[in-house]
Amino acid sequence: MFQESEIINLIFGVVALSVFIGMYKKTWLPRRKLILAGFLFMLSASLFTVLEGIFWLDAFDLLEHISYGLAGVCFGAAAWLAVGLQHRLERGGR
Amino acid sequence: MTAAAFDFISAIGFGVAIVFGLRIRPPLWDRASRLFFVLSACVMALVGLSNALEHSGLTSALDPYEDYLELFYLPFFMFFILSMHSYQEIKIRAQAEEALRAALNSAYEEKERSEAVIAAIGDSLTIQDRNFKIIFQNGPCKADWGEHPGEFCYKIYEESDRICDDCGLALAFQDGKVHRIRKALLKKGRSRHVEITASPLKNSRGELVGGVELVRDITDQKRMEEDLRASVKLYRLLFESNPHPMWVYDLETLGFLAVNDAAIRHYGYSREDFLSMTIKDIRPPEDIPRLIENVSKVTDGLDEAGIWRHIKKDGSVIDVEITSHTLDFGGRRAELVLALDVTERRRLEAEARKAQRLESLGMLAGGLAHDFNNLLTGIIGNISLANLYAKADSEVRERLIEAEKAAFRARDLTQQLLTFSRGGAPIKKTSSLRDLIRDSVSFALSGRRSKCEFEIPDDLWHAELDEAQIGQVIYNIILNADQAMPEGGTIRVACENTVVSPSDGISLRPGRYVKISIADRGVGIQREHIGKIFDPYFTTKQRGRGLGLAISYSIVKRHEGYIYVESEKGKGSVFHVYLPASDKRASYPETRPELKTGRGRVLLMDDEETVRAVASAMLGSLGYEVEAATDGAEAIELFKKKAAEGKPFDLVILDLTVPGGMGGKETLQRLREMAPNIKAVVSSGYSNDPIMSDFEAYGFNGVIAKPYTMESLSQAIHSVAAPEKR
Repeated sequence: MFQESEIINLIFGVVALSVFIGMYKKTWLPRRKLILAGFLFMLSASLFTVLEGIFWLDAFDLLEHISYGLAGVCFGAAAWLAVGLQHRLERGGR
Repeated sequence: MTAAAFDFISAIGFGVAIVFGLRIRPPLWDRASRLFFVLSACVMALVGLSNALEHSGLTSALDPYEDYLELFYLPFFMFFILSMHSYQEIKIRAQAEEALRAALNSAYEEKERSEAVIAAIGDSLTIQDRNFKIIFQNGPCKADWGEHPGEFCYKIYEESDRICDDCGLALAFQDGKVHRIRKALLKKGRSRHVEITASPLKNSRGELVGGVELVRDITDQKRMEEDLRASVKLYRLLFESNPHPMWVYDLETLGFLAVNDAAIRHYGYSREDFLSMTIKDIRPPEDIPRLIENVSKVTDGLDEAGIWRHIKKDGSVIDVEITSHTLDFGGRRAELVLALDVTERRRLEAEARKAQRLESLGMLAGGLAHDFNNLLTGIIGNISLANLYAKADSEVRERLIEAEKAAFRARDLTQQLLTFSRGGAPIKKTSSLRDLIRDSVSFALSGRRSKCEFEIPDDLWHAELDEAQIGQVIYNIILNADQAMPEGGTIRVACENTVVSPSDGISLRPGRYVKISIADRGVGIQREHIGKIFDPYFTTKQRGRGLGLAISYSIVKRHEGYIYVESEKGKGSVFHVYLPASDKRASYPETRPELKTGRGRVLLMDDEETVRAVASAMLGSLGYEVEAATDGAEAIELFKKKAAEGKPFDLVILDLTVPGGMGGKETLQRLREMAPNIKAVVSSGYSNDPIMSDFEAYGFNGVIAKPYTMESLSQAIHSVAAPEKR
């Protein structure tokens, strides 16, 4: 059975996703594709968390953790690449 | 375990995000973005770590709070997303600042560039307001005129208190256009020519706010322009006033492009004629193929094309030496030509060649005449001796007298040859031509088929002439006339008195002349041969040597006369001879002189054995005791010997020229050293020799020309020896 916090989390995620997509083209966010991918993985993990409470517990649980892992990789990579970009800009390259 | 591995990966990934997220600074991210990003990453890292521990079978302290933590990460992330919006504004501002900075930099660079351009103009530039007050001066203006901010330009440039009359800027203010004027200004105390360009200056609304004045020093340029104009004028003058014909022609069309005055004057064509003609039009038709070939071979640079024939407007043909040079004439490939008329020069060269040939001939003639003279001395001397022994009025004596006459004529001829060979002047005396012509004609036609008719007026003037030479001229012309009529015919000899004036076109000094015309009705002379008949060695006869008329020409010229011929092929020829007339009376030959005998010892020196023999015999007949020597050295020895023997000579006869030995002049000098009072007579066949004509100046007492007769010898000896005899 799923929990209320998981549902709330999912709702938050969907709202945040809609905001992110709405601002995607207006905002000049460095490495935003990676950040968006990471966020989608996190949202997927929230979805899988809800679903594992309804059916196929083990499968969705594994998918949930895989999604968290990939989200971490995407976020870590986005921050690392952004710092690299920052260094290049500070050296004068554009 | 698999889930635990992914959870670890998740925790590590978010941990990396925290570490690097904290390092991201504005303007890449603003602080709020970084905060929410790090917070969401922290929550996620804690959740991942908690899950990893849980799935690893370990108890996590965070596990009870995990659900709460999960509630945070998405809002944090949403805040992160929202905070990025503020970054957008920062970015726009930064871009605007960057653009502004770039614009300022650009404007600054533009200003620096403009100032550099104004400074680099090199000419004085001022910007003035509408009252002609200077508000800007560039570097060259300050250097040339000093710094005068706020002062009136007319004060600076012309030291005037009012606007200049020809102010270009004032005009630019009136009509809004650019004006250029040239004037002379005093710059640093020196007069300079300047060109002032005045332009109106307007603001962005098109309102006139002032003007720009550019003052360019054109003194050097003006001087160069003047030099160039002078140079062009000079070169034009060199072309136009060149004394030799010059022209420029198009190498493609061969048409004349320009001609100078000398060409117009020399050729007779007008400038318009020339410019409508090609260079082919002034060439004889037969020369045109050579001309075309020559033009096709023209190369850039100087070309000495050699001698060409040109036709003048009057149809006469002249020889010209052509020198040319290619040039670009108004974009056309052309050739500048200098044409030097060498017709006269070539004629003179031909004359010089003729003179050279005459000189060669003269040397030959001189040698022959000298030998002939010696032979004639023997002949005439022996005839004279024979005359002594012949009975008076006998047939023998008559024949001897005729032989003597012929020998005298032969003597005259050799004398002519000698005169001719030595180039000496004729021995002139006032003579009547009547008898001279008749005798010469008679002698020339002796034994020939032709007859002669004379037309000689009684009042024919006398002339100053050398009878022997002029006799030879008549002889040569008559001989020529006779040969022109192989079957014989009548030769007409006419004489007349004539006065030559400059208008007659005869190349003689104006004055009185006797004109002799000798006409035959023979074969005539071909037109192309007329100019050559007086040339040495020119002959149309198979047996002729081409010398007769050449000698005649030379003789007449030395008499300051003139000879020319008129002839028509098949109709005969007329030779005209002009000789200067004389006011003096003619001197007629004396009667045969009588023999004058004498006594004394005579030393005769002559290199020719015949002469020695006959002269010894003649002197012996005259009563003298004679001893002979072949040259000077032998004569001196003989003189010494006889003096030593007590039989000194009373008189010496010395031959002037002894080939290869001591001649008469040197011999006399040596004899005078031994016997200062010795009587000496010089003898020579060269009667024109200075020693013969002025013998006393060379120490001789008398003279006798070879060949000599008994009478002339006796006279010469007597005139020298007689004073002592008296």
